[in-house]
Amino acid sequence: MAALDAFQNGVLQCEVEPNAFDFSNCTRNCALARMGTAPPRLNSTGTTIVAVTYKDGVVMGADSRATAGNIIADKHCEKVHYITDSIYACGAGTAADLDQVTKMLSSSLRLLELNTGRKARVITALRIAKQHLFNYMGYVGAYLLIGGVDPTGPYLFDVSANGTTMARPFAAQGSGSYAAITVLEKDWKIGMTEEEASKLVQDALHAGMHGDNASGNSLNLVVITPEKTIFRGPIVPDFCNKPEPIESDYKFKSGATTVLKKKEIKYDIVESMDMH
Amino acid sequence: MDTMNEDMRKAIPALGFYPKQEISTGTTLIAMEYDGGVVIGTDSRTSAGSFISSRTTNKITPITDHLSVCRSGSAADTQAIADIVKYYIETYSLLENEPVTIYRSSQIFRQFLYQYRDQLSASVIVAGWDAKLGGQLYAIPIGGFTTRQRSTASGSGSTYVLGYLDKAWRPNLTKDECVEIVKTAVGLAVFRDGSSGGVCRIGVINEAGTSITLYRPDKPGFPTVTLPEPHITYAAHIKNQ
Repeated sequence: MAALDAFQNGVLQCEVEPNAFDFSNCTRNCALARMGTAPPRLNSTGTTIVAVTYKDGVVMGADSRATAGNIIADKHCEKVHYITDSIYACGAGTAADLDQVTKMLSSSLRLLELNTGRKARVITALRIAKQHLFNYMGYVGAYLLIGGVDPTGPYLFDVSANGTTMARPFAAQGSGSYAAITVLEKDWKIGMTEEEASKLVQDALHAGMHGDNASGNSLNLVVITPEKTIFRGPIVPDFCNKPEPIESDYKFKSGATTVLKKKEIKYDIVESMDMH
Repeated sequence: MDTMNEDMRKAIPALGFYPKQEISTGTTLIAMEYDGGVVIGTDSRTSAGSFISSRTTNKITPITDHLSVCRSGSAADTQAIADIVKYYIETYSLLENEPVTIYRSSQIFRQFLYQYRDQLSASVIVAGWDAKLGGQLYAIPIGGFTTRQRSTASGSGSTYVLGYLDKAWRPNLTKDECVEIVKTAVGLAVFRDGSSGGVCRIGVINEAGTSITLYRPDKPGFPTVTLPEPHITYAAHIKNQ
């Protein structure tokens, strides 16, 4: 708990260990805000990420939109991160933190594989991620779905930025997760085939991409089984190519409302602003 | 159990400002001692505000074959503490070549929970059996105050069943009577508390070890509460249809 100890003891900036955060710019930022400077706009990866375990393995998927306020900053952002050949992590949260955490996991697991001579396990990735994120008390904004197959079987874990972890049969994260989780809760069942699982993940992602304006554009899938890992993407659903037709008419037809009473009020024009 | 709401954490440590936000331990944990062991009961809901982030959470974390801890408060904090204390207990038992007593385990929990009380939000019930003192329960609420109890309840759902537990407890309970009381208490708490729900897990820890039973609401055995038939007054034009 190096970060916690540093705060507790109020050590000087130069004495803080290199892996703790330095918050000394916060006073400067407060002063700037009081002077009227607008704070910088943060790049958010409003996201839908979904993962599902099925009979033989795991199917994981994510959309590919990165937003900066109301603008789409990146239409094809890669949210399914490689950890090892049979372990992948879908990430939601702060883009920079996700890239660094997943790169760190990938390198730690590769070194472990080389040192032990064994294939890395999903639970190991989970432990490393959880202990790293807990140490930073949630300030490293990484919300991951870590899934994969190792010699002990297929696994799916959900990791939050504050260090909470849960083992799940299906999971969704990100701003579009509210829509995606409803599809998963309804249609997930035990013993699905790869086609069913893949379709379920795509349906859940479609729900997220429809219902969340920060998710969309295209989706990426990865199917992990004991024998092989297949990366499928980018898949562009139909509704991302052309908008779906609007079936209802929002205008009222004339004569739809019965007129009960009419009252005419005459106004005198005192001053008019005609631009010639 | 609540996951911490990160949006509220706008701490400015440089100014010494560390906001103490309202912490809700949305959960129900019931534990009771009987002659020969302990019975623990939990719900399975983890909420983040009004969103249920997990409806099948396991709040009973096994530490050893004869020791489990019931967790409430911030899930991250309690998971991390449980992992760290488990490591210490395993190391001590290997070094000393004998199992660690439940009292000592509760003290290891207390030392962490008290030392880091300002940074953590964790409330636990340490439950186990050892040969020295038999079945034991140690309640450690937020802050780190540790006491041994015969019957204890923790979490937001506990307040609704304190009266029931007070009435139901008596000395020399058998295991089955104890299970019935704990199970009914979880059912009553879940009925009234919005932050508790899902499935009911009942654990029995005694000399033979730990056995956990899962009760689903859609299967028999779940502690249902008989809903009284409501009085509904219809408007005249509906009633006469």
